[in-house]
Amino acid sequence: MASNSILEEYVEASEEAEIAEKKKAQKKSRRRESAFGMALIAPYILIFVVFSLVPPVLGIAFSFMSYNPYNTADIRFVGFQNYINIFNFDLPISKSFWSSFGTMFIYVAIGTPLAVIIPFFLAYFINMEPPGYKFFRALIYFPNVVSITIMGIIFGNMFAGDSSGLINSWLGTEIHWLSGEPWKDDILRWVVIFIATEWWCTGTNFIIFAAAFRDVPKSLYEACEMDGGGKWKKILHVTIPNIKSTVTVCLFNILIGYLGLYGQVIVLNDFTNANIMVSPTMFIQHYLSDFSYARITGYVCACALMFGIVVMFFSTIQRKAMGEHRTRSKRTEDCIAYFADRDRFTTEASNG
Amino acid sequence: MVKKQKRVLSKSERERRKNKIVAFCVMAVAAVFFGFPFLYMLGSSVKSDLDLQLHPELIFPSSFGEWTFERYTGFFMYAGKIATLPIAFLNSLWSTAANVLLTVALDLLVAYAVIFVRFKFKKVFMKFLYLWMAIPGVIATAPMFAMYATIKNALGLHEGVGAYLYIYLWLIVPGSTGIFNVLLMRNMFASIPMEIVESARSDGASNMQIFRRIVLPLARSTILLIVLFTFNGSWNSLAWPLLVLSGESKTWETLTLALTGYTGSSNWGQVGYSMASSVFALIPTLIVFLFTQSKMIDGLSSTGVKK
Repeated sequence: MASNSILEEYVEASEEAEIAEKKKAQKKSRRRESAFGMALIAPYILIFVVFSLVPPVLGIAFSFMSYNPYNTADIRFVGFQNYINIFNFDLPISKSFWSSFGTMFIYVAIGTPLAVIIPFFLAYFINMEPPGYKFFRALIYFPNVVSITIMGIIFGNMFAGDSSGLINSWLGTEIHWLSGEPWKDDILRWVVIFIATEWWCTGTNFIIFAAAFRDVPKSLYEACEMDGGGKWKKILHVTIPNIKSTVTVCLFNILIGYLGLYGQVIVLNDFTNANIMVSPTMFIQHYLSDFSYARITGYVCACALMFGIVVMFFSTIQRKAMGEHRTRSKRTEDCIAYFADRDRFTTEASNG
Repeated sequence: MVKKQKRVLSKSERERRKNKIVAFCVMAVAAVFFGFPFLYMLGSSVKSDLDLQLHPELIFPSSFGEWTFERYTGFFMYAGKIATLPIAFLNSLWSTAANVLLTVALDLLVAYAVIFVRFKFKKVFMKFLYLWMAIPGVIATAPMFAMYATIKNALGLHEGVGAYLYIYLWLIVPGSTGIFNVLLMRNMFASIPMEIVESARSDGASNMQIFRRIVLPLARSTILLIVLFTFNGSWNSLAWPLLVLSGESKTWETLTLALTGYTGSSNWGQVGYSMASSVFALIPTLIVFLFTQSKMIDGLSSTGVKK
């Protein structure tokens, strides 16, 4: 009896020791696994910290400094001076910074609706699968992968100012599309920029919308048809509610992308008018790349922060809207469930 | 009853056919708009200089004798020197390849760690990436350039191979940590059934074996997608190279940047050369696109919102 209990105790103790050892080994392997995992993400983190995390932080620091990358002796802390200068409208540079927002807003206000409406209709028609629709789809998407410089070369020559331009020779005119006077002929420049942008940017949204159209359940259309809904009713009550969320996402992506207007104006402008139609991104790039402005790098960083705040304002709205779209897509599901139920009901009724 | 149904069906079929014709017409108009600039580019590149002057209204040369291919044959040598464009092409090629490789490698490592390895700070790491996506890139450009210039100045890298490599380091590396790509890869890895990996692990497979035998084959299409988008982004990027390479030697430029020399001027003497250069620069993009366009379009449709 006694020996038995001793034996039991011994077994228990050895089991405990085993468990403890196992736990220890497990802990060790856990620790090793943890180290392994961190080793895997270490290169990413290293690059991310140096090239993505540090710059904005430094940017905030630089915006309170007078910073010159080419003359480190010149660097000193200036407090809010850069921000005061930005809001000092007597300075020509601050004036041109704020007026660059005007250019940006014109582009966004006209460009964003165009970049949604045109792909929307093209996607609507491609979804009817006309003969050769795969070719059309690829062709409409292809300009999207062409570099912006090539786009500039093609459209710049098509809309060349003298009679040697293709469009001018067709129309028999000598309109100065791109080389006109500042301010007065800006509207012509805008026309060309929007045509070129449509050509260049339609693809992405077109493809995304086409997928959204395709994913609208066919049964909903049939249900609508059964209720006597015509073509427009179908678009209004089935298509639009179902793709609304996709459109919202694309709308904001386009809007935020267009805030950074840069390339189009660079490649579609005449050198003689290099200083007109400047967007905030162009403003920042211009003063950074020009060696003689290196001493105001701190000021440019402050400008970039101001611009960043504007962009963040829109991206916050986007996040809000996308949060809303999640509930909306749930409503779509409810709607599908409802129609499915009703369909079953109607078929049962007609069978009966 | 049956008759009625048949009539309705044929009516809807007729409707469908009518829709297809309307859609085809719309698409044909769209195809002219989207395809025409390419035709114009191609046509202008083979028109003789005389024809470019006298017949700007024509897309292709006016007569057989006006076709010229000298702009293509004379590409590599221009005015007795090696033209800068082929060199720019090589610059673009290697830097794009390096960018793509680095991006994919980093994304694979991070996604594998996040999905299949338990480690500390994983949640914090992912949460941070999600939050960081809200920070607009514009605020980073200016200080990044200041960093670049300060370090370049401090190291005295003004010419030679060192300066070239330093510039290309700044062209290649910063774009390689795109968060969207990481999330794309992570989501793909998350869709791999855990049981496969667990059973392989209990059979004694190492992480390397799991990665090569199980994960990599399954992730192929996602990798291709990231490769394609990174390739396009890197090959066509303009703003950052324009900043970093401003004032540097012409032979150091990337192709997209080198072509800006042909934009913004209304000098028709350059039309032929600029168009031929554009065709030349478009070749890699076109080849990649032709072979992968359905993959690209599918990828864009399923991942939704890129760019």
